[in-house]
Order: sequence, then C-alpha cells, then structure tokens
Amino acid sequence: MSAQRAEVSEDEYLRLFWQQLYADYYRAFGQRVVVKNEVAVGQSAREVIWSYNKTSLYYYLPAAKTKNRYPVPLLVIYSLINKPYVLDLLPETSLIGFLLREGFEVYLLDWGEPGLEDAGMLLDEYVLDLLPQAVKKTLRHSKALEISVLGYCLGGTLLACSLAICPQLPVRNLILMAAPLDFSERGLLQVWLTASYFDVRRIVEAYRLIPAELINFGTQLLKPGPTFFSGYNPVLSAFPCNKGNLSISRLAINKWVNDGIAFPGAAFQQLVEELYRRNNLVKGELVLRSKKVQLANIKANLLNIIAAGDHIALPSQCQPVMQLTQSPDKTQVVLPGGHVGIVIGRNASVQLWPVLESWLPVRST
Amino acid sequence: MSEKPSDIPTPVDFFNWLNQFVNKQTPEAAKAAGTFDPLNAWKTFNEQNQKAWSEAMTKMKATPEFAGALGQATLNQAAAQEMVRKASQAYLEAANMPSLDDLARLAKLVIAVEAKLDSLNEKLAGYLDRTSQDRVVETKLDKLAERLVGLEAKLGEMAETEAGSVKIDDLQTRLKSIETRLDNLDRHQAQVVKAINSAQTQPEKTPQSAKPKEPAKKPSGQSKSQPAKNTGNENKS
Repeated sequence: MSAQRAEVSEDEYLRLFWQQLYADYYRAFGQRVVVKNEVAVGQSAREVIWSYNKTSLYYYLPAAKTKNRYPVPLLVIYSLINKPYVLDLLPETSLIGFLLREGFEVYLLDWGEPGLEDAGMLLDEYVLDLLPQAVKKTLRHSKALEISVLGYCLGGTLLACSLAICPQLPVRNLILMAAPLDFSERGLLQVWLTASYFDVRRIVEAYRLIPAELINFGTQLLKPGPTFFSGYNPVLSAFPCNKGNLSISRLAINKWVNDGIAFPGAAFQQLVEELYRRNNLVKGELVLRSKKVQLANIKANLLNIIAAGDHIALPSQCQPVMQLTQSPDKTQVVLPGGHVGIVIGRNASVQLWPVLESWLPVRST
Repeated sequence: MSEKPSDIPTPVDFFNWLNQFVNKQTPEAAKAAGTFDPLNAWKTFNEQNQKAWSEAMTKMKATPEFAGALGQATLNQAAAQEMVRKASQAYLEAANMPSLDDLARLAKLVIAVEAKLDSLNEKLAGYLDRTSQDRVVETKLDKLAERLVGLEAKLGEMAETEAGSVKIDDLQTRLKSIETRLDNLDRHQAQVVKAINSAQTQPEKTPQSAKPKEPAKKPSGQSKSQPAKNTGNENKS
C-alpha cells in the first residue's frame, strides 16, 4: 500500500483528497456528485478490436515480461452494473495486469453505458447476440481454436446462459466469479423485490432506463456500513496514525463505487421477474428468444469462485452451478472477502491470483 | 476583481499544517509518552459505531414495513421523474425542438445501420477467411505445378542425351517387370479369394464336417497349455 502512496506526489494526493472529500460531502447530502475523482484507473494498454452500439471488445497488449505464452486466450465478461475498470483498477492490484504477466492473451467485453435508445434491450440480446459475437471476434483476432472465458458477477450469469444456449461455442474453460445463478435465496432482496412492494413494471415504465443512482442506492443499501459512511474514511485515513489506509487505492475504489451506469429497463424487468422472483434459470424454464436455457448443456471445464462474505451475489446463489452443469472438470473455491473485495482487496493478490495461477495455465496449453 | 492575498491559507495549506501537527501525535509517540491518543480512539469508536449501525439497520431493513416504504418511495420518485419528462417533452414539442425521445429514435436508426454494417463486416471477414484458406491451397498447388514443370524439364533434358535415354529405357523395363509382378500377385490373390469363397459356400454334409479343423500337430516337446511360439516367420512370407 505504501508503494501505491508513493506513486503520486504529496500535492497530487492532497488535490485528489480534497476532490474526494468534496464529492463525499455532496453524496452525504443526497446531491449529485459534481466533482469527478480524477485518480488514474484502468491503465493497462489496450485497443478496441470490435465495437457495436455501446459495446466494445478490448484486447490488452501483452506484457513485456511474461512467464509463458498460452495459446488459449481469455475473454473477460463484466457485469451490467458499474464499469469494468475495477478489474484493472491500479497497476499493482490489477487482475488483468496479473493475467497479462502470467502470459495470457486477455480480452475484455465492456457493455458500455446504455442510452435511452437501449432502454428496450433484453437479456436475450446480451446472451444471444453480443456474447457469441465477442467470442467469435476474440477467436478471429487471436487465431486460436478455443478460448477461456471469465464472467464476473452478472457477467458470469449472462455467460452461463450464453454457453447453455450456444454449446457449439468453442469454450474450453469457464471461470465464474461471484456469479449468481440460483435465486431461491435472495437475502434482503427477497423482501424488497416482492411484487406487492416493488412494482417493477411501473418503475421501468416510468424510468425506461433505470438510473445508475437507483442501482447504486440499492446495492449500497444492502450493506450501508462501509459505503454510506465511507465519506468519513478519507478524513481518517489521511492522518498519519492511519498510514495503512493512506493510499491511492481508497480513492480509486471510491471513484469506481460512485461511477455507476444505467441499466436498460427491459433487461432490468427481466432480471427481477425471471431470475429474482421466479428463479427460472435453475429451473430450466428461462426462455430467451424462444430458446430454453439449459445449464446442463455447459461442458467446459469449470472453475467456480465464490466470495464467502458476498452480500450481492450470495454464496448460496453461486454454489448450485456445480450440480447443474455437465462439465467433466469442476472446481469450486470459496475465498474470504466480499463481492468486490475478492478482486481488488488487499488480499486479492494472495488469494484470488494463486487460484487462477494454479487452475488456468494447465488447462490453457 | 482584486487578486487573492497570498497570506490567506488555502484548504491545502491548512491540511498541510494539520498533517504536520498530527504527525507528531502518532500512536507510537503517544504510547511512548504515555499519553492518550484521541485520533486512535476516534478511529476505534468510528469502526465500532459503523458495525453497530450496520447490524441495527440490517434488522430494520428486513422488515416488510421497510420494504413497503422503500418500494413506495422508489415508485413515487419514478412517477415524479415521469411527470417531469412528459412536461419537458410537451414543452420541447411546442417549441419545435427535438426531445430526448427524438434523439433516442435517431440513435436507434444509427444502431440499425451499425447492425447492418457489422453483419456485412462479419460476412466479409468470413469470406476473407475462406479466401485465405483457398489461397493457401492455391499456393500449394502452384508449388506442386512448379515442381512438376521442373521434373518435366529434367526428363526432357535426360531424354535428349544418349545416356539419359538409356536410363529411361532401363527405367521403363524395370517398371514393366514390376507391373508384370503386380499382375501375377493380383491373379494369385483372385485365386485365393475364389478358393475361400467356394469353401465357405460348400453345404454342410455331415455333422463332423461342421467341426473346425484340428490345429496342426504341435511339436512333441510343446505342452498343450503353452501358446504356440511366434517363430517370427509369419511376417516374412
């Protein structure tokens, strides 16, 4: 952490600190954040190899020094909530940076920020159009015959649906990271999303594009401790007695947490009704564009990573995939930490990275 | 406007001063001096406070009353948002100006065009892939043709010289002898096949004839339980 601190000058840190404090002040009083946190995030070199509408497929330029070069590329699919730079937050803690150093060819599918014109987008389009296209484009660009895919959070859910409907996609390895599939237990959302309390149809009709603030409010309300009160933390962490916390990473995380994106209304309604309320995915009753999603069609090698303290994708929502797929090679790992903590926390490099380091390379040769 | 006097401290100056001041009050220094560390106490209080609040709120949030209120609040906010949107849309329409919906419609048209372009791009890429594969085959064929031409030329050269023609004659003779041997083999094989077929189609005359033929008598020194040793001559024939 002290290494990260040393990256910016004292003046730069103070400038960023005041910005954050100002932003936190506004947030604390329920007003729109007018000052953007300017911490540099997502610094790994990359280029766009395909784009369609707001979606972009990025190719990360290989690291100069790598242990090996694996012939099977890795496509990373991010969630529909917030932005994917959390996977490449800061150079020292970047998951993508780690994968590049390991010698993988890394691709990232960024869904982009939907506009009002995308309000009618259904999950069908993500699962049946954009995802298979991204896989094809990755294969063409890398000239590989098979690929590995990593789906994080809702990205993992979409990925599982896509592989279940399109089993012909040449995916050798499937990594699901905090990806909820079984919504029979929903935690607090079980009460909140009950039809009598939450009229999703009416809300979608009114908003059309579910605002980022509403999504953010919902996720933060699930566990308000570290998020709503985080405005005080920079003040505390700035003092020398808290040098452990005095880091640019806190500012970067704060930036990401408050940098949400809107959710297409139609897809949101589908997510709430089909998945959260009816739990159609694990029942085998989810129908996307008149095709049933049968998770048993998944035959790729499976690594299921669960965060033990996850309050967004509960461990009980992530675990059942192990019984639902027909993958001959299945591994499940439960890591300590929260939904985001397993990827960017201080322990990511000592907990998540070794898991990937031991599982993926042997299956990518 | 007058310029800001330089002696007025900015927030950064204040923070720098505060930082320097508190730097002297580190927990280690406080411990060494045996004094109370208020910042550490505040930190501990804050952490415990957060935890307690979080637990209390979690219990409260799980109640149906909270869920009802939350849902209603969201709905009210959505309704207000919709009202504002409709009002601004009506205003923009009256002012003959494009609304957000109009822009969204336009964007949809652009996306539709992009979809067509993407589809064309995909087809073109597929075509190029196939063409490149064809080109690989074509290149290989070209190389083969080149080698054939080379061989032909060499043969021509050889035929022109006396020694060459002798060699070719010799090669022809050898080829003919190989051909004759192959013909013989072919005839022999046909005879064998015919014999096997006729043996198979022969009707069973007596039950004894149906019995499989006894294997050839083994050498006297060989016990019955031992398998026949491979003499290594089978393949030679």
